[in-house]
Amino acid sequence: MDITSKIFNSINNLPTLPTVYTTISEAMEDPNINSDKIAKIISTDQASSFKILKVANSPFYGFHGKMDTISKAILYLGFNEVKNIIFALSVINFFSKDKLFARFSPLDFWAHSIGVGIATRLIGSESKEKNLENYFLAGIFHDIGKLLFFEFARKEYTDVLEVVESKKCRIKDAELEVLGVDHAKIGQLLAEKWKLPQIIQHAILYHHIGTVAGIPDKLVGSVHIGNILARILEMGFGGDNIIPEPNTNVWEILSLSNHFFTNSRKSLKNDFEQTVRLMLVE
Amino acid sequence: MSRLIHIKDFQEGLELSDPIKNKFGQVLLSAGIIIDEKHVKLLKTWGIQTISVKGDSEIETDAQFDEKSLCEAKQKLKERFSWLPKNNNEKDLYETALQIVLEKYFT
Repeated sequence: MDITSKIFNSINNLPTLPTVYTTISEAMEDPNINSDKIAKIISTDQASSFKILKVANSPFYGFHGKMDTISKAILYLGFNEVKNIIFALSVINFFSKDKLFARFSPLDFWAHSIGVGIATRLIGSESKEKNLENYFLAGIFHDIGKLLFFEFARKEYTDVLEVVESKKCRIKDAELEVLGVDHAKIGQLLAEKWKLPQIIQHAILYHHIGTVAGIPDKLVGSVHIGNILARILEMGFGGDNIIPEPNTNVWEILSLSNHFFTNSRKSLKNDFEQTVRLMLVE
Repeated sequence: MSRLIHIKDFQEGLELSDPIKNKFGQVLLSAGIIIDEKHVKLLKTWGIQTISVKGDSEIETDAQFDEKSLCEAKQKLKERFSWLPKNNNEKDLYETALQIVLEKYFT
């Protein structure tokens, strides 16, 4: 059995995601649901609602501590974004945080993912996108395929990391060489299985390329540049040190100002450090 | 916004953004003071090297590395950043990467 089928079978056997997320997803199907009812469901789990509020109040959302209840978080961020935060927190808890490889730990992985999430949202907002829902989640999940390799192809992934070290190449190229499939494809399979919106599936599948079958897309472009920026700012570690070349076709749709990266790097790094602390450590 | 500067980079007219305190928390110079030569002398006698001043011009703080450091930093960055910037956004990415290397290895 090749690695893709092996992992695909493992994905099919994955236990379902933690309860709060499933309960509110089900509740959403109810046409008579309102935000108070949703807030009530979320608030039943005190530990997670406390953490959700901390993330909702983290600096990159820009509300600075105004959200002291789940209802307010829903009001300010929108229901879907609160659901995305719950989802991200569930997935972080869902996978083991044990250090499996000498050169690449799950904490480095998540720190990189959170860095890309924050960078993606900032790029989206700079590109004047009105609906920033999904930007943080798409960034956080762009590399989720690597986690599946960690879990289900541990032995083979040690070889991948060795190839990265000896050839000084990108991890996706080492994956293709050793496993015949890269984390972008595997991540998209998981996103499909979890029924994430298609736009997030695209962001995962095309984050190295930057466009969807050659067509520029704001969210995919933001994740593509967010990944490069997170590597430049050394926010976490994505498995290799290379700063990839951006796809030149993304700049027009993003229309970022000429000094955007220089001017925002310090505040971005501060936001990153705070968010990592509250999502991974506290 | 405020930024940190070394007192050797001090210029007339800079305004303190945060008070300068001694180790007992007593305020030596309060926020909002416009720094002049006299203050710089005092700071030196107190052994204070960096101060926080108002203004967000990062470009000014970004320009304080000498040619040799700049050259070495560019060399170092080449290992990770192997492509040529083709437009202003990509040049901005390169400049950001270079600043990070400079700050990490040359300060």
